[in-house]
Amino acid sequence: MQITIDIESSMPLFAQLTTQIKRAVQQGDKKPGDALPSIRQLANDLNLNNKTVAKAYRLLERDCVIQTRGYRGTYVHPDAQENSLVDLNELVTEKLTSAISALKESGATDSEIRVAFAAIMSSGDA
Amino acid sequence: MIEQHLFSIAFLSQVVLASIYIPSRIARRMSFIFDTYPPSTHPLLYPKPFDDYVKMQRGYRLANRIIAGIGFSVLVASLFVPRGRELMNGMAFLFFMVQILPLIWLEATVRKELKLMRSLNPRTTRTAELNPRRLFDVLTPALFWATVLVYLAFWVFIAWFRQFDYPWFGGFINNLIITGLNVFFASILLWFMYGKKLNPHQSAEDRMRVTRRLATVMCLVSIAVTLYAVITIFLSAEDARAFQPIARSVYFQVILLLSVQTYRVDLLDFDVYREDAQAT
Repeated sequence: MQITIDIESSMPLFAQLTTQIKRAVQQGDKKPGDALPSIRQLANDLNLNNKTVAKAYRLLERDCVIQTRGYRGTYVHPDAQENSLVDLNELVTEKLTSAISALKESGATDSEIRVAFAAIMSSGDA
Repeated sequence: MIEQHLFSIAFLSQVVLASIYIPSRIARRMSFIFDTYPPSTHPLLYPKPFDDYVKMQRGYRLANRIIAGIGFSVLVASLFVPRGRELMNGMAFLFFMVQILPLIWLEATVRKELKLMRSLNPRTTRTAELNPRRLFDVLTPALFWATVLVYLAFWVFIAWFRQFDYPWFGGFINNLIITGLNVFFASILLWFMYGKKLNPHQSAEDRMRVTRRLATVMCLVSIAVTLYAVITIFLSAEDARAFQPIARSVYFQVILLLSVQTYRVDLLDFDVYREDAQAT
C-alpha cells in the first residue's frame, strides 16, 4: 500500500496525507489494528518536515481514524472505517456558509464579517 | 619459517582479491549497467554526461591495477631484501588501507551523484509505503540472534580470560571496542531503515532489498570481527604472535568479501530511471 503526494498541488500536504490514509481505510487497504509507519519514517520517505506528518496524524487521531499506542507505534482505529467517512472540513464549510449567508442577509458587509471572524478566532472565544 | 611462507601466500591472495578480483567484478557490474540501461533509455540514471561515468570506471580500474602492481613488487622484493618478510608483516595492514582507497573513492563519488540526482529530480510527486519497517523485515531472526549470541559469548570469553592475568591483555577494553562497532553498525542500519532516501528514484522494493542485504552483511561482519578478536587473543596467549599477520590478512579478505557481497544488479528496478517513469 503506497501513498503519493504532490508538492506542487494546491491542496496542503497534510491534507493530502489525511485524505489518502482515510481512503486507504475506506477501501480496506488498511484494516483496523494495522500498523502505520512512524512519523519520522513517513516524513523521511516523502522528504517532508516531521511537523507536517505529525499534523496529519494528529488530525486523524482526533477523527478516531488512527490511534497512537505509546512507544509501540500508530495503528488504525477499530472504528476507523465509519469514522473515516466523517469529513469535518465539509461540516465547517457547511456551517460557515450558512452563517455567512445569514449575516449577509442581515446587511453585514464582507469586510465586517472578515474583521469579526478574525477577531473571534484570535481572541480564542470561539 | 613456515609462518613466513604462509604469510606470503596470504599476502598474495590479499593482492589478488582486493586489487584484481573484486575491482574487476565491480567494473563488470558497471559495464553491465552502462550497456543494459544506457542514457538514451534511462536518462535519470545519469545526472552528468555519460563520458564522466566511463572515465570514472577507467580511473577505478587504473588505480587498482597500479595498487596490484605495487603489491606484487613488494611481495617479490620481500623475497630478496634481508628481513624483507618481517618488514612486510607490519605493512600488510597499511597496504590493505591503500587497497580499499579506490573503493572509498567510488563510494564517495556515488554519494555525490545521488546528491546531484536529488537536486535535478524533475518530479513533483513523491511516494512512500504506508507500512512500518521493522527490524525483522530486513533481517532473519536466526541471523540476528546468532549475532547477539556471539556478542554475549565474547563477554563471557573476556570475563573467563581475565583470570590468566596476561600483562598484554586489555580485558574489558576488547568488549568496549566490539560494542562500539556494533553500535556503529546498528546506527547505520537504523539510518538505512528510517533515514532520508538518498536516491530519489529508488523504488520501495529496491530500498528494502538493499537494506536487507546491508543488514545481513553487517551481522556477518560483526560475527567475523568478534571471532577475529578471539583468534588474536588466543594466538597471543599461545605465544604464536608470528601467525597474527596471517590471521589479519585472512580476516581483511573475509571482511572485504563480505562487504562487497551486494544485491544482484539485474534484480533492481531500473525502469524508475526512465524519463516517463512514475514517481517512487
